[in-house]
Amino acid sequence: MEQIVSQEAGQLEKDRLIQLVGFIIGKELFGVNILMVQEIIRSAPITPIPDSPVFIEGVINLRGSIIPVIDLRKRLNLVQDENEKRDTWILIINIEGRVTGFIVDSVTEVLKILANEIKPPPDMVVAGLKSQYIQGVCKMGTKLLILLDFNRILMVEEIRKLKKIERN
Amino acid sequence: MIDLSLLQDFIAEAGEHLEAMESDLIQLEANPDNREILNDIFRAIHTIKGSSEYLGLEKIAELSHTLENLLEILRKGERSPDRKLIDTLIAARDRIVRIIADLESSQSEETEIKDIIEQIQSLSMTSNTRPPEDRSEKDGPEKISGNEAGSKNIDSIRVVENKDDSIVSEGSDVEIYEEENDEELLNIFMQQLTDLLSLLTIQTKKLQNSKKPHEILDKCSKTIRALKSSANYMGYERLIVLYDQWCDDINSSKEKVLEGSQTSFSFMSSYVDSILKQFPKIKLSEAGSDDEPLFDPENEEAAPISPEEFDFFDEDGLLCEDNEISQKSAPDDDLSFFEEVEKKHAEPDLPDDTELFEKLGKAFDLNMMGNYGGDIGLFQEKIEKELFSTPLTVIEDQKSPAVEIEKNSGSKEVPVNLDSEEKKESVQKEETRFKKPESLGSAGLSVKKTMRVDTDKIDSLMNQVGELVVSRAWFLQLFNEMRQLQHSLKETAKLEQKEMKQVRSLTFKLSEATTALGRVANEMQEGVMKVRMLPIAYLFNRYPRLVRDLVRDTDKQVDLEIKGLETELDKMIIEELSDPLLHIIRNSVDHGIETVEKRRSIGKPEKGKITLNAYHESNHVVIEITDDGRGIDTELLKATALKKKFLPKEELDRMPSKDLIELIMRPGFSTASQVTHTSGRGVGMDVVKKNIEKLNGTIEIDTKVGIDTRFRIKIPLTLAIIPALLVRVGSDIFTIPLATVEETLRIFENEISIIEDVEVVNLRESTLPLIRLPEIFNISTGRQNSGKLFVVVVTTGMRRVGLVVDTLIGQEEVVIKPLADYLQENSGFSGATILGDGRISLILDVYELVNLYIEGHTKRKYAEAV
Repeated sequence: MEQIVSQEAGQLEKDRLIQLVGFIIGKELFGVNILMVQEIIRSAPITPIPDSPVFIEGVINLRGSIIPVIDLRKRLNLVQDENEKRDTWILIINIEGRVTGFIVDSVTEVLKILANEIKPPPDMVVAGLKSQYIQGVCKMGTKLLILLDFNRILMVEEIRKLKKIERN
Repeated sequence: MIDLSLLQDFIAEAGEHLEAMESDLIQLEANPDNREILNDIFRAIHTIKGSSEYLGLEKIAELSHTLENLLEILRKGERSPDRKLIDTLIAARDRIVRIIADLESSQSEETEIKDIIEQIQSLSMTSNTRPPEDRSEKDGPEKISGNEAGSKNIDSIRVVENKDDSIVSEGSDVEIYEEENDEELLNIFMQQLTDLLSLLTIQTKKLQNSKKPHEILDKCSKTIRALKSSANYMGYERLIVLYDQWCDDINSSKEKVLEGSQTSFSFMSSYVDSILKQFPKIKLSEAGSDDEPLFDPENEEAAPISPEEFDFFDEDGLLCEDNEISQKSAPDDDLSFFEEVEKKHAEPDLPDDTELFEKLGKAFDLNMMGNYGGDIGLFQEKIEKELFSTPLTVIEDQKSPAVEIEKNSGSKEVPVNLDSEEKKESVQKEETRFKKPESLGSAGLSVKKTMRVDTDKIDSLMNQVGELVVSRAWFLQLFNEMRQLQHSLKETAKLEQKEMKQVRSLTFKLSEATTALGRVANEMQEGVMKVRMLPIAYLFNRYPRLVRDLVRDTDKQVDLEIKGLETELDKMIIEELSDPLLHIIRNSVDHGIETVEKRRSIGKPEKGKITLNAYHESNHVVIEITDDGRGIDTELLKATALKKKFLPKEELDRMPSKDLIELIMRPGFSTASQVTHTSGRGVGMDVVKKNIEKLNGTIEIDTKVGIDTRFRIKIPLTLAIIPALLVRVGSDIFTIPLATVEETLRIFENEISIIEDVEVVNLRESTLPLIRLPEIFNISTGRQNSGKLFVVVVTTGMRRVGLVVDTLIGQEEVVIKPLADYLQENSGFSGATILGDGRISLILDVYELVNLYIEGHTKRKYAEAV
């Protein structure tokens, strides 16, 4: 489901229309398959969790469920504009059953793109972002849309290791 | 492919039977002559066989069939259950458990059974002149019923009974088992049949004199159509054909009536009669009061059915239900039936009964003669089953002194059922269940029914109740805010008394509503919690087997005494406790109980004794495991601790013996000089401790060297909602489970001294290490150092620490919600809870937190040293 495109797929597959939720962090435009997005909420009171990796902002109460919230900017090591006043949104994304919130600066309208417009990520760094988190890129007029690989972003093993390192 | 839901049911049911069987087998070993236990085991295996055959699970069916053969030899008394035999039986049971585990994981029976079957067969061969394999399945139960009768010294029954009855008895108890599920249906069917047939009989009687016979005939055909549809539902094709014919006949007769020609309605009663032949039981209740063939017109004076007769039907219905309850113990019922019959036959002044049996015999004869020929076999079995599964009806029906006998023998049977049936049910429940039949005659019967429910459903219900508890807290907060508002309106806004009145009344209403909601929420919470509760027997009954296996090849003898079986506990906790208890019992057997020789030499009884006990203590359940073994030698512990460099000598010398004993719960600590296959590796007690603390429980050890050791585990009744202490650190609120909180203190900064880089305070002659939560959580409190500190003293069994917090907020019931796994692991938090205002508060896992702190502390110290 979350595999948006596979390069080997047939022509039919390439003509498929994909709907994305676009969001902006800093000046970059990102996208995530709409099917993965459970809901989008205005920022909620976040309870920090002591001793957790720095990009984990904490947990929020989403109608009785406790959901971890990750600051996507910190997770992706994007530059933080110190002066920018952050009036943020939280994308609630279901990543293989793990419902997780991601803090983004703003959310755009739903974007429709053809599957074959998505190109594999270039090897080099895109917008100061390591290609390992990128599923593909796509031209949107003059802008470049970056499709994020949320499975990679929420690598639980990695988070566990980070936690260990930080503690020591 | 097997129907998955059926398979799941089978797995659950077989699991229960196998569990009961295990404890029965252990009991049988202790009382080899106890027939009741043997019967229970037989019953369990028979049920498993029946359902596995139904589902086409060949291996289980084959294995249980072989087992059945062996058990039958035991029941016939041709062999007594010696140790080897019990071992084989247990091994076979374990094999079935394994196959069921296969089924659970892969829906196929993977485990081999050939070897175990050969083993069982060789056992059967050595004991028997006739190889059991020769016997057909049908033979088995016959022997059993005969044997069972014999065991109760009522062999005479065989003589008195006429041949047809003995034929009847053969198939009967098998069928009851194998079609357990049909029993209820059949009862409903029989009830309807009885009612409608009696209606038809009345109609037939009316027909004789009626001026408008066609109207009655119309009613009759309606009734018959109802009968037909139910027969259709049950799949009785013969009956359907019969009903069709009947309807046709009625129609043609109706035409004749309408034509005005003379016609006889005798076909009506002959149809009724032929159906009654199929179901002799109904014949009994119908003919009970007037002993004459129904279709004899002379005796049928067009009288409406007497209220008395209706009573029969009522009772009939009730009795059917009764049978439904006790169907699992059907052999006992059969037994009581045989006893009944025997008693009646012993009393010559009850000619009715002999007549009755003759009638029955005749009915079956006719059946066999091929009235319906063809596939009558199956049909007949149903009838037999019906007949024999409702012995009470026969008796009630006779309205004879036999009723008294039945009552007596009935009550005699009650304890039997009690001992044998579904051990998981609490004994109390069982009693109420089985006492019911005695009071049957009079009042209506409310049967205690159980049902299997998916645990997920209960869990989601529990979640909802959790939400309710949160809402309750929310309302309470609203009420408080309202009160504050009222206050400020009065004080600041200076409202008039009149204006205030409205505000006050609203506050009052709000408080009322909050109280009401609170009450409902409390009851709801309690109720749902009760649903999840199971008697601890569920857990304790696993251990006799363990103890038996443990002492098997040793020179020790151990008696396991179990008390407090009916104590109820959350099912999830029961599951979580299984391993810790296993470790403790294993330790008691391995390290506690001495060898027979040693015990003799020190004047103790040869047999060691381990006692498991459970009881409630306010909101907790206490489980005690006591053994009368050698106790824990603190000197030995000291030496080991020193050898393994757990602690410096000075500290060990200083430690009170209680703390020393708790050393055994440290990882890697074992005093056993030899590592056996069961214990001595030093893994165990630390796991026990961890598991119990995970449940917010505590464990204590009391020991007297050479006399006994007692482990005392105290756990909350439920996991989902716990009482907790809320504290504030910085702007965050943290939750500390009350189970770990010992007391709260207010200390002054200057009372703190530093020992080895650790802040400590003096608390009643002992030092209490402090952990500053703001520091370890990296939370800036933003408070000026006022010199005063709040300290929450927590215990994690062997350690006592003071947690320094900013303020104490109060005590509250909180609903535990899990954190995402990667957040919760090793975080020092066991979950989170939502407070009344919707905020999240993290719940401290005190044990983990303290360990993390110590770990970090030693690392820092190490780093400094380097």
